Amino acid sequence: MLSTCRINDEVQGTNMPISYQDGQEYTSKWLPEWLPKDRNTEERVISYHFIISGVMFSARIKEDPKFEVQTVSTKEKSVLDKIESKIFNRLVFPSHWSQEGISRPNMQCKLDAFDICKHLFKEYNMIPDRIAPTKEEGIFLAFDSSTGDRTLIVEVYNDLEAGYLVNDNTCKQILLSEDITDYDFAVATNLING
Amino acid sequence: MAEDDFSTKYNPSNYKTNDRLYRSYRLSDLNEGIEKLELNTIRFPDFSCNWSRFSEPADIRQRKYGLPTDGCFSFSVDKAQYKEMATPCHDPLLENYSHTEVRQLTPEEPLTFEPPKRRKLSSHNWSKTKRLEYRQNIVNNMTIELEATA
Repeated sequence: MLSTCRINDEVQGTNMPISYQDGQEYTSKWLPEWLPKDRNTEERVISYHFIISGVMFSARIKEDPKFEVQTVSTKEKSVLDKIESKIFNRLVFPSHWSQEGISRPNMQCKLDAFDICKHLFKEYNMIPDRIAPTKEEGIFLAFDSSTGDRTLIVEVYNDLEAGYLVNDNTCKQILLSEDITDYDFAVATNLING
Repeated sequence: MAEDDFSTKYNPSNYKTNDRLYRSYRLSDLNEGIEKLELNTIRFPDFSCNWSRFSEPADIRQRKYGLPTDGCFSFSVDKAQYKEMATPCHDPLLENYSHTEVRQLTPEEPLTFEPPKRRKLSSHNWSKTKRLEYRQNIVNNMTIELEATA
């Protein structure tokens, strides 16, 4: 079952799979894995609200020092879910590109593009600002700097080759370009993050 | 235009480096939330353009499959010849004398060489990085002549 999870009225994750059966009491068995399981103590209890299929459920659960880490992993999953959804389900391919004989990104290319996104997010905390098909037949990923004056552009092609460049959008100058072979984006991300 | 003989087919060496090449685009080419063209909408040569010597930006709307809502961007010949990876070749059509193909060169060929039409080159003729650079260089140096409206 897919749901939105709110903790203290803040959205902590979306599209999270949660085990749930109608009419059954909420027990630790039904709590998502990332939540603390011990609900017996009366001290430092936090209220949790789960919205499942539009129905709100509440639980009072002991605060757990591990919670912070678990929250991070939840957010991470949420970000990656959104990227995955965009790459695999919501790419907009202009109709006139087909008339020009341009092929859509294939499945393996999408998988590779998603792998690169996961790597950039986990290693460098970078999230793509734009995900789109490319006329060179593949996936285009753009990561803007916080000021927008530089952009890391990654392209993954249907033949599974990939490359990236860093562009200075103000000076209209290419700062760096490399083929992607070993997923080492340290220099590129330094240029983007200043 | 009167001094030009329309039966003439020009050579790459007849293009001046500051001549402009016009190319069409549509609103659907713009990435979500972005008002300018980005790298992904630019093809690596070979691709078609109109030569500014014989045409105006709006003429791209008269091409086959052209729409009155099409936009037009331009770039100079020297940008089409970035790192000597490609060169403009005059390819006049009955309905469009200015028609130009920017054709890919091999590393050994000079800018004045006219590659044959529809020549198939290995995809490894230029590395992916070089091809990316070529396309980004066009984005960095393009001028929007007409905004696309659909």
